[in-house]
Amino acid sequence: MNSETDEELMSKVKEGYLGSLTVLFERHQKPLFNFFLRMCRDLERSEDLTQSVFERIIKYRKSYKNQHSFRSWMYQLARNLFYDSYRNLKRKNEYIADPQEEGHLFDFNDNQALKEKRRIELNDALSRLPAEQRELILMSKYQGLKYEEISRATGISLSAIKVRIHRAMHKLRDVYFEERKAE
Amino acid sequence: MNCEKTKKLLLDYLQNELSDKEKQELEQRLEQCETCEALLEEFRELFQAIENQTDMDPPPSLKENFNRMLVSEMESQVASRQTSLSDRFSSLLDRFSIKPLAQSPVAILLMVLCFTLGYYFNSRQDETSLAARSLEEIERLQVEMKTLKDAYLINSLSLPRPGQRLQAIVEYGSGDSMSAEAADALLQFLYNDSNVNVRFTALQTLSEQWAGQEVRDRLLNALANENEPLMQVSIIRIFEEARDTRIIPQLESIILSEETTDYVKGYALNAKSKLERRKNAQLKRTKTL
Repeated sequence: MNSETDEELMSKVKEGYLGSLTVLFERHQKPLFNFFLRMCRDLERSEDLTQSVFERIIKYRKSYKNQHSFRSWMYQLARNLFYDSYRNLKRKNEYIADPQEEGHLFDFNDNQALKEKRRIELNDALSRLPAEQRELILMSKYQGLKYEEISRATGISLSAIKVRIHRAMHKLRDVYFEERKAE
Repeated sequence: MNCEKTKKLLLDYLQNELSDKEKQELEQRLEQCETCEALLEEFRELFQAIENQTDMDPPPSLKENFNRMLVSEMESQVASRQTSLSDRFSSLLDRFSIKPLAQSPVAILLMVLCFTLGYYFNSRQDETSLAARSLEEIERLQVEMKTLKDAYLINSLSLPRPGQRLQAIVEYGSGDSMSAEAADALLQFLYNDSNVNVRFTALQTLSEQWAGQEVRDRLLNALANENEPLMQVSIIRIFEEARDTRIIPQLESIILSEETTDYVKGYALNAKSKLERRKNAQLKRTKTL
């Protein structure tokens, strides 16, 4: 594996060594794709958005500030793209595709199937959260970004980030167990 | 501690972010209050559910599209470099009052090819450092790139316009190493090209890329057959800077030649006396030893 940090690689890209971007792509394409997938539950759109993030990294490479967390910059671009594409869809309802989970296909007595059911339920619960709360949970609990990185990516002050993430987690718990109790 | 305060601290508790004192207080509360205890269990389950989530692999088309995008970006980068190179050329050629260059499609193609190979080499570096066989592949690619560059240089000897040949040499010279085949090709330019600017550039590229006695061995006879003042002075200078005294007999013959211009004669005389002083000093040192 390449031992260079994201920041070192991005500095190279900034200087014009575009080949270094392939390493960054290999590292981040999957988490980024899944970030979008959980944001919009649309495979095709998630693929397009992921591709667009890397296009913007090239386009705006000169504006990357050396030493700043690459991930927070990347998620900043990712968020902007996501909300831009949301605005283009005009209607708020369209910004999450209808959940089309295939829960009925599983035999939930089976342990593996139960896990799968929980996965679907969690995704459902996440999708019922407002996008602003959903992205905070995804960045902090799924992608493992630090508060500081999330703060830089979202423009929310560091002091407010923790409170907002806590609020979002409480909301997620409400929705998740509400669905479970409704079974 | 009440339910409200407990609720606020539960997440920090699960993430181990509480002070010892807060932790103790919270644990006491959890023992006393079933509602708080139930809430903690729900959060534990939620954290576990998040942990159990697996990421989906992106479709292969994502990588294909990314590669395509990157290569086209590199191509446009190469094209813009090409333009700036041409600009530098045109200003150089203006001074020599040669017609401005037309872009050479062959040169663009070659540069893109080299760049793509370089990119491929770069992108593979990661995965490949794991396996030795990939090192071979990298070497193979590098050799391939070099062979391509050499072949392009040798082929460009037959390009019709001096500007095209000149461009080929300068483009070649921007690389970092030179093969013996390429050095031979450059010598061909140096001896046989009909245009003095092309010959001059070939000489410069040779001496820059291939400094050392080897290149001077091949240039020793060049001065005797040379009539162009620009070339004569340039060749003399290479030997002068290297303090290579083997050129002295050649200097003598061009000083004596009726065809030599006065300026070159003066330059050669000056170089000859410098080199002779050096030769004598060398001889003295050998004797004392």
